[in-house]
Amino acid sequence: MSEAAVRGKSQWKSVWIRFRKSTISLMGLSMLAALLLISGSAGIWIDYESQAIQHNMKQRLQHPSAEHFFGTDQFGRDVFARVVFGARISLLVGILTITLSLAIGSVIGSIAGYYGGRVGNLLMRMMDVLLSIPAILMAISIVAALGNGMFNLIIALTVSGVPRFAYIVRSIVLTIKNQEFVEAAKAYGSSNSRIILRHVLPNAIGPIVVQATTNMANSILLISSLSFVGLGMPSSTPEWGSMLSDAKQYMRHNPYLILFPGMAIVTAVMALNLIGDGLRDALDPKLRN
Amino acid sequence: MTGELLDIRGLHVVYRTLESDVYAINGLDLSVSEGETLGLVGETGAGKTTTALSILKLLPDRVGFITKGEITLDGVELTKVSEADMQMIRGNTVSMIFQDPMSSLNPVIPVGKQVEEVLTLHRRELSKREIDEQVDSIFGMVGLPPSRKHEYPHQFSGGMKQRIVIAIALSCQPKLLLADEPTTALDVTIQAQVLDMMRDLKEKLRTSMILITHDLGVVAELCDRVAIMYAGEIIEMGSIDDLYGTGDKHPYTEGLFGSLPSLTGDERRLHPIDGLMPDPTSLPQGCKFYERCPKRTGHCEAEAPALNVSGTHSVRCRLFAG
Repeated sequence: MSEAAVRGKSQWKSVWIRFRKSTISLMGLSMLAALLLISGSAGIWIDYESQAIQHNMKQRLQHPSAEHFFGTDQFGRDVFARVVFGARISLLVGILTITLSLAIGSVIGSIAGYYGGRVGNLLMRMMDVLLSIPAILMAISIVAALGNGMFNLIIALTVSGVPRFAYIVRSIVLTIKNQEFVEAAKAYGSSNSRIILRHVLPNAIGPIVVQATTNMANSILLISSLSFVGLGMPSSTPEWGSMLSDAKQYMRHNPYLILFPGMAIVTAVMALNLIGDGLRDALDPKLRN
Repeated sequence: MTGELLDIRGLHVVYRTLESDVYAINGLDLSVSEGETLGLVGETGAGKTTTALSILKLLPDRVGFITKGEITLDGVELTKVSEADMQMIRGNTVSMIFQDPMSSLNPVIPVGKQVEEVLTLHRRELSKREIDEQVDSIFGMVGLPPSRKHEYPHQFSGGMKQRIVIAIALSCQPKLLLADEPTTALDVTIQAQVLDMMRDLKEKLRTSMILITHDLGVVAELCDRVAIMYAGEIIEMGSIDDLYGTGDKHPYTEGLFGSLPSLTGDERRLHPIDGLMPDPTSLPQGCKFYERCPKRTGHCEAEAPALNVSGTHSVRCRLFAG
């Protein structure tokens, strides 16, 4: 173990030291940081209404130039502006979905794993039902039932994300709850909820973080897929999937229309997967040295 | 007996598994008075740890049950206490030290926080600063520098971890301490250190203790009284002099002492007790030691022997009757 890991006060410090060793994971992290930075600050230097929303037929289907980095689409909207604002939607919906499914999934998984018995069985069989339906089909049917829009999209993605987290949390809780320090915590008078919150979940944080990053990559793909088939965001909203869908008819003469949103999706998904891979290695105690 | 800190009467504990019922404790009587240290000795599976877990009411959920008997601790009948009240008793009136210090500390919480947790649970009236001071003084008490309280368990050696575990157990100055083989996982030199420390602390805090062990040497060093357990009951109990002296003992106790290698004699082999403990799923009707006893008689198989008391010494064996 490196010296900092021995002296350091926090485990996260030593995790960061191991994470830093992998160039490719650092690349993923900087890609994600760039995406967050550009999309976060976009409102300051790009005018959303005039660039990304308003139709401007005089300037339609222009190739990339100094004025329009990524060219313009069939309505004369700036593709660069739309890609940048699209990142906002994908990342925002992705982060909200992960937070929600992580919270709900952890509660369900902890209860099912810690208490077990009939209640735990019932909860996990419900999760089984959710898992047995492919995520995309589940999301399509929920959006079809509730209608388009960001809020419903988040609900749809959360429902398909919850069982994955519930399963992970449950399996970790099962291995940790029989360890002696949990018994010891009971022996000095901790209540069950306190044991779950203070002793069990903190030990589960590594695998949960890894699952969260890869799940977020999946969510971003799902958002784009749903929008591509017209079930995600309303079509005027700049969103990578619906941009791809709109560009289908023009791709022969204006390939950049499909290239840039496509690359944005690939970048976001790859960044998250690389980070997830790096975290998996950095958090695995067996690979520590 | 009144005035005892802990009084267990006729305790029966059963583990109900899918295949069969395991009779772990069968009519156990035990008492510990204030400031006293009782050694609980027996081979693996005799029910020593089960006894400790029964006192804490921490028998495995839906598996372990107290079917009969009473456990009175400091005037409270524990078998009738609700789980919520039990949480207030655990760590406060009675505390436990577990066998393996490596696994009884939470690896992701700094050790100081783990000591602090017990205090925040049971000493609600203390302010943040007072708790901090307590933690420091407890660390000093077990011989650890308080400056290391921000470190994680993996940064300590085995002996130091056991000191932390003891610090946690003693932080609320419990009246009774259950020590389940506190030194088995440590190497011999550290064992001596930890035992010395436990003896000092016990005297300083006037804590009663039940020391569970199979090390007869540790018992002689630390305990006032000894109870020998076999197949879920106490077959012999007495003062250190009663058991370590030259007087007559239960054949099983003789066997236990006989199995220790002698440092002075010229012996080439160890002398184990032949055979195994009876299967706890189907216990014999008569004396539980019958199968292995070198002094058995015809009566022993059919009829369970009563406890024969003389002074401080009591033996569950027909040889001692009348």
